[in-house]
Amino acid sequence: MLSLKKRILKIQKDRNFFLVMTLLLCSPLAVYGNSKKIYRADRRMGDRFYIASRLQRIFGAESSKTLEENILSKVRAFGGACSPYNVISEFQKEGKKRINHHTKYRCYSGLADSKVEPFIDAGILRTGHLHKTCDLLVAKQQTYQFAINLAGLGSNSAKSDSNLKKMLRLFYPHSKKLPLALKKVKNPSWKLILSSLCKSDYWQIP
Amino acid sequence: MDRRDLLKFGSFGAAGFLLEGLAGGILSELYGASTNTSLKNYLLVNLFMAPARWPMDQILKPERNSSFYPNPFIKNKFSNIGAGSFNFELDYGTSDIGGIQFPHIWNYEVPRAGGGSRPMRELADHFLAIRGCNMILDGHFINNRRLDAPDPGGVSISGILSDLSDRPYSGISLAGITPYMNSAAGAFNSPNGKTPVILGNEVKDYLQYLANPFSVAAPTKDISQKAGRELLTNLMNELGANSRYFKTSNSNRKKAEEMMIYGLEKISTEYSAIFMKYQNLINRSLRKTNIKGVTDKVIPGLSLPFSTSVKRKENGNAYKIEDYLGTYRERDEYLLDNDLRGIFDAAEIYELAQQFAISEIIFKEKLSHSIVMTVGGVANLKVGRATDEENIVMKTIGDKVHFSYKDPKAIRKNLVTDHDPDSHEAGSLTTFLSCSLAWNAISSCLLEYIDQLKKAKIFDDTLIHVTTEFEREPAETDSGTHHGVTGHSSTLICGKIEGPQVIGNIYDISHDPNDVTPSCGTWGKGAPVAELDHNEIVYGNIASSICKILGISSPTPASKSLVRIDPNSKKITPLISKAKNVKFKKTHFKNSKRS
Repeated sequence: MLSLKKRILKIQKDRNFFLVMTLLLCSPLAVYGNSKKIYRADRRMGDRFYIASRLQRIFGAESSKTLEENILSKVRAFGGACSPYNVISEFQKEGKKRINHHTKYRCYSGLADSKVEPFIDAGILRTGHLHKTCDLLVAKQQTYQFAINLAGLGSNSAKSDSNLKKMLRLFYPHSKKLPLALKKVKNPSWKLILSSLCKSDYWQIP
Repeated sequence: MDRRDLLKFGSFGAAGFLLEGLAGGILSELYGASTNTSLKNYLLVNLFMAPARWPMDQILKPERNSSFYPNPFIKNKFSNIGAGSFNFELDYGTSDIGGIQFPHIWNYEVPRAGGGSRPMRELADHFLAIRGCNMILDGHFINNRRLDAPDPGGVSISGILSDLSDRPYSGISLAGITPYMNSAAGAFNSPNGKTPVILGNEVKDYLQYLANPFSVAAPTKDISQKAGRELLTNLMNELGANSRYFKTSNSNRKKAEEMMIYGLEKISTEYSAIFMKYQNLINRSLRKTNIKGVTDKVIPGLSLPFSTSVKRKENGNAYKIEDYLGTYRERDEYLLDNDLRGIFDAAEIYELAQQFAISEIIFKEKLSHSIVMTVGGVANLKVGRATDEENIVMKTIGDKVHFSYKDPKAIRKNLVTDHDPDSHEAGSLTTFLSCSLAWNAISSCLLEYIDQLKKAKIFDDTLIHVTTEFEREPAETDSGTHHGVTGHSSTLICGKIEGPQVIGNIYDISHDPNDVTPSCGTWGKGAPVAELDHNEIVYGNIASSICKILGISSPTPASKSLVRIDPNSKKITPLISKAKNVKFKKTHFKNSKRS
């Protein structure tokens, strides 16, 4: 026979247990119980400003025009009403000419498009625009050379594992494992590898 | 807490996470259930801002002897017209097609592609009208969006269809010049999170917009070879192996590669010709027409000075200028032209030609299963002379009221305006003319579109849904109309419908005190249907009917479908009895579960 104190403790424990169990079981149902779309961190792709910024960092200032024409102007494919980064950088007075610094993309004083969604899941048009942009940037000598140099490589660098990792880290800076796909391809050119990495979707997820 | 408790909590927590995945999987599967294996094409033609459809495709009088109460506003033909202001009589005329009384304009012909004309009544061959639907909520934008996503904020019919489709483009939204998010084109919502392709008013060339991402620039061709595609495929498989995004990402990549190989731009010459074809049909349908009872005679505009007898409203209030002269009103202007037909000489329905042209390409080339098209009103009306209310003086002397100009020099000349489909401030004459000609253009395009679908042998597998957010309820006077949310109608056109058919009951005259203008005559207010437990049709019923035809699950499964599909012939037939105009009874409101 349990003492009164122990019985009270047991009841409290059972009550807590059922409360926690209910919360644990109901929370996913509450989240998924309706049909509304939920933005998930592993599905939310960067907006046009994020994509353009990352690509400019990799391919250099000479990529601006290509990025303007194929990423920044494709509002409905990539999303992003306006760039908040300019506001921050103005205050910080970075002084560097980045693509998002153009006044027309600024929030509050530029041509912000309030009807555009902040994040747009990938669709075929986005994929198409990105593939085209990657091809154009890799085909242009100045932008290709910038990317190769940024990776610490030259056009004739060997396709060793360590060099492939350097190229990989342009887009996936935290990647530790080298994809087998890069090692298996026969006689790839650095342009082919760079283009493929650029077109792979997953670096677009912020 | 001891180790036993920790194990208990941990295992239930894990069960919770398992359920999370299961629920997510169930949700995406929920809308995948299909009643037949072949997916159909769906074109939603949304006439934006609820234009008056009694000159168009609204069947107010299904049979010759249907009870019908005329209303000063609900007119679709001239019974006679003479010189000077107000020297005309308007009437509600019909055209008997298969025993159903279509609006007057269906008696006549519309332009045919390539020249000549064809009977509008051909459109009735595969036509099913559903009338008397109670939208319950008021508001243009919410009801526009509900046309595709009937449960506000929920999944859309186009979204469900897109999830099941393996065609390159998910739903195509042709917003035209309308604000995208406020229309049906902005309601796309797929259970699996697919993104529609939106062609808004910033897009000049629709085909170019769709083709541009896949046009390969010459210098990069050496990279886009087979080896490049293989490397990308293998890379994506590895990098995305643990990502929940993998399936969508891979699917988009494959479709993008298909489109690059396909080369949509190769049909740009053909597209230009198709666009010109529809533009030509629209121009001939709107401009310098000669439709009997509509535009075959001179239509004089308002001419002042003018006098008439004093009138009062039912509540005893005096008539205002807009009540007396509203017949000639379009937005803030009273039209003074000697012949109002002239204002349509350069009329347009912006983007309509591109919308039909790209829709034809999309279904013929199997690029998508779903298109939502938002159509604007008749625009670019060139008004020679007009005046606003501030320039009109109204004097009552005895039992007569006299109108004159405050300053004749203040008459505005050479104005460009457009017909407001949301005709709160458009009179019976301007509404009747604009909506009749708009339907002339739309039906002409639809007939050509259907011809192309038949040539491509896909008409039986295509559902065209023509609708607005709700109908219009006439005001007490000629000053304009109000929202008729209790009388929405939808027209369905499909090769598997043996038309014409009309279902859904309306009141011949409603004395509901909740109406904006009670007892104003037959305008289409929904009445109970026996097969729906004596309730009116609601939009969920229409959505379920559409999904039944398309072979997909309905986003409103609690609302019954109004049609059935014959399992052998695949013919679409109504599940409820033929349309009736019913007598209003107070008991209708007591019995209705929706009252």
